[in-house]
Amino acid sequence: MAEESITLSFDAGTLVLEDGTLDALRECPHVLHDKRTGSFRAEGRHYRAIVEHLRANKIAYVDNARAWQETPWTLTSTRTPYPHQTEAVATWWKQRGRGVVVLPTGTGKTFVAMLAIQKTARPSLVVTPTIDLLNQWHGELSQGFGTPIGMIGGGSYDLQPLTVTTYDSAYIHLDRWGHRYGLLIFDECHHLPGPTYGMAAVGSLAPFRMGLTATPERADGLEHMYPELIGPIVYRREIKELSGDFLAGYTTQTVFVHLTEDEQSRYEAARRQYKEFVASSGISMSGPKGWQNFIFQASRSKEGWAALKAFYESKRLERAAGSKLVKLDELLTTHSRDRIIVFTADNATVYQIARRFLVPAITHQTKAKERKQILERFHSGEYTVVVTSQVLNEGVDVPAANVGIVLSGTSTIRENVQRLGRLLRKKADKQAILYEVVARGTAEEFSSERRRQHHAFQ
Amino acid sequence: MLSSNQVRVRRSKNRLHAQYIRESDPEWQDVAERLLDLFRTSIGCTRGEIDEIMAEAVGDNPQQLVPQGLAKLLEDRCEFDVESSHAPDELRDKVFLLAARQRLVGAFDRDAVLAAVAGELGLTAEAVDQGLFADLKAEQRLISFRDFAVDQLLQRYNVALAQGILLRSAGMTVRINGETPARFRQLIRAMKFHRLMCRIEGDGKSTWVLHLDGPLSLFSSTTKYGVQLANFLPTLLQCKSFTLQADVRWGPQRAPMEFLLESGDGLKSHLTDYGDYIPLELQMLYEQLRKHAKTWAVEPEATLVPLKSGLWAPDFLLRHNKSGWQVHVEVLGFWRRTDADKLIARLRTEMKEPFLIAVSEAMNTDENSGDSADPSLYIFKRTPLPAEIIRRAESLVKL
Repeated sequence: MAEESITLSFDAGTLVLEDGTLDALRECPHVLHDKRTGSFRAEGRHYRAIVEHLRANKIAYVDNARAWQETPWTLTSTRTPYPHQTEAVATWWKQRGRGVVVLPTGTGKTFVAMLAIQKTARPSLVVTPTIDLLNQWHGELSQGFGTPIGMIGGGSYDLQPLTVTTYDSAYIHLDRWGHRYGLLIFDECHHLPGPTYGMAAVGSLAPFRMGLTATPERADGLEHMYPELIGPIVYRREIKELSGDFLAGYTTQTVFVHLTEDEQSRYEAARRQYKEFVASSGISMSGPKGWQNFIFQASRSKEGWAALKAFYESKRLERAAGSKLVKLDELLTTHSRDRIIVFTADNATVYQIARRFLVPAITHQTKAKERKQILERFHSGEYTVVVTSQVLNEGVDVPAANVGIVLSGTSTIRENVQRLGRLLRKKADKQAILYEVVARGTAEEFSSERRRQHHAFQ
Repeated sequence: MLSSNQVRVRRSKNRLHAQYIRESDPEWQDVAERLLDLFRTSIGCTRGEIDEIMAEAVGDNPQQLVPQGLAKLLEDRCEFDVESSHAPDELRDKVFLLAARQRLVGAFDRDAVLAAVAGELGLTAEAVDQGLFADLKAEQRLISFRDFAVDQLLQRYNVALAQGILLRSAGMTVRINGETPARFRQLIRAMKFHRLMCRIEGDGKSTWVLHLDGPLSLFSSTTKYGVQLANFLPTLLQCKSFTLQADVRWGPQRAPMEFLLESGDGLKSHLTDYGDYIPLELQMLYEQLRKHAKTWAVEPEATLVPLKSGLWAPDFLLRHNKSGWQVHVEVLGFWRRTDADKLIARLRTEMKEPFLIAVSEAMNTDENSGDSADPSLYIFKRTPLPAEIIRRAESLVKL
């Protein structure tokens, strides 16, 4: 009998099946014969289905693959979950502990994850997009469970039964952690689908998986991959449903500024050069591949390259127009008693503002320790202004903030919703304002239109 | 390595052609020399300044990919560090706190903030202003540059170009002709080191075909192992005669493309080649065995042994003249007891023919090795004795 047992082992993101009878091996779901090693092999994610198949058919097996045990976790927090948090976890668990939970930013996704970790009682890995979020999760899990939390990424490599990592590190180190966790939490899980990061979900054995996001839809439509990587969307609440009760009330306001005469004429010259090239080379910029075609054409000739440079020049003028900085100065004075986050599209402008107004900046170049200090001081009121580009778009907690000033940004709806979300974390009777400073007579007016195509801005 | 937009390729149908440069081309030699000089003289400049100098020197338009690529390879040999009269994070700390306090009472004055902090630290206001972000990447200064010669740079460029393509590959097939076991051992070590998987086919003589990819490649074509395949290339380049065919996913659409590379392309590895070297002891043993073995033919084994779990490259093959029986012999260098035991266990389950592993007591890195009753393990004192090898071979085939 023992000789007929199938042996399962983990090999760099795959599950290897050996021994047992040929028929039994062949009948296992999702399994292929691998000529390279003469064994049977499956993607790590099918571990659950294979084990369930073996159990259902009473086939003996020896499991050398999974390197985790059931591990009870106790939340030390006395916090009472909100109804939507309890409901989200209960619904997810009913769906066999696999699926995506969609909740607006600021409605306590981290706590939902902690409840899920407690419910699942398995070693768990949290995957998150940025170093800031890595630090933030590390802090919250340490507090929540009162146990040492591991970290992979941002210069650390420390695997613990509860560990946080980034999408990048999860992909790179898959071979080493893929068999160690029973539950995966994908924070901001709209980052997961795709040929690279997706491999982390493909190669892991974890039978339980939870995705968390406020914005599951992707520009490339790859959200259809959630079911195979995590599970289907199992629970969803929109920003309007929870605003006021769980989120701060808010208003949004668009402020227009004019370019100076000199800026305006440089802007128009640059736009003309760009548009003429686009027209003369017959590129349709409205299609999904418009921009790509443009870059491709631009790289083929001197004129094209000049047109591309002209395009960037026009962007620079839009983003850092002198009058925007004047307006910013005004808004900083008006809101001198508030906590303000200034958002820009690029790091050059971030540092320009930091130097000019002597306010702290957070970009991907800011080291973890300094970010933490800046956010703590912003929270305590020692700092009242923080300027950032895309780093604080997502997820990072800044409950103290009540004023957002968007000086420039992309035209994506997601970015705008996420930026608004930074301001909406409930704190006493906070009322938030999101300003959007737009240069009149530039392409920015259209971007602004486009990024507000979301019910949160209507 | 080159950044992805610096990889110079031509496409024809579904094939990618690397646009190598001729290393003897005076034009490229001249460009390389000038760029090397620029980096040599840039010690002390900030990264931002070097970027500007390079923008002047090599531009940023796609017609200038070669100089841009050369500059990138040189940049990879630079070491930058923060240079400031005062720690920038401390400057920021003081400046931002004071500015925030002023702002709170509606009296923010930039010059006054800088002057106050300067006074406190005994610096000038300009020094505070300039030092504020001296630790940003663009403001770090070049402290050292690992110099090398024009030829090396140009050779490195061509290899980097091929690696830039392999980075996007989902797998590759390599055909290798007439290499020594020592070379194969080196290739196998490199594959293991780069965590690649290999399926092997051979004609039983001197040509071997290796299919290289990784565990998950069985299910879908993934470029997850592209970095490993690219890093394996310099080891492969040490082979005298080979062809490589890579399955590449190119461009933002990840279009499937084929990329070919062969020894005739003349790429030169930058690695120091130890792989083909046959230690003197082995050569001597070979000579002695030939003299000693009257009833056996001795071959330095050009034949590799494909196993279920990979390739095995033994040192000698003993063939019994009358019966045709064969015994494979490998002399292990530095060894650990567990490694030797593992190898023997593996060979025993995966190989039909008898084998003999010879190890030196003196080369053992374990504290105690114990002695062995295993007929396939020969632990010798200082040098392996040819007579003992023959005796064991005969007992293995039960002569």
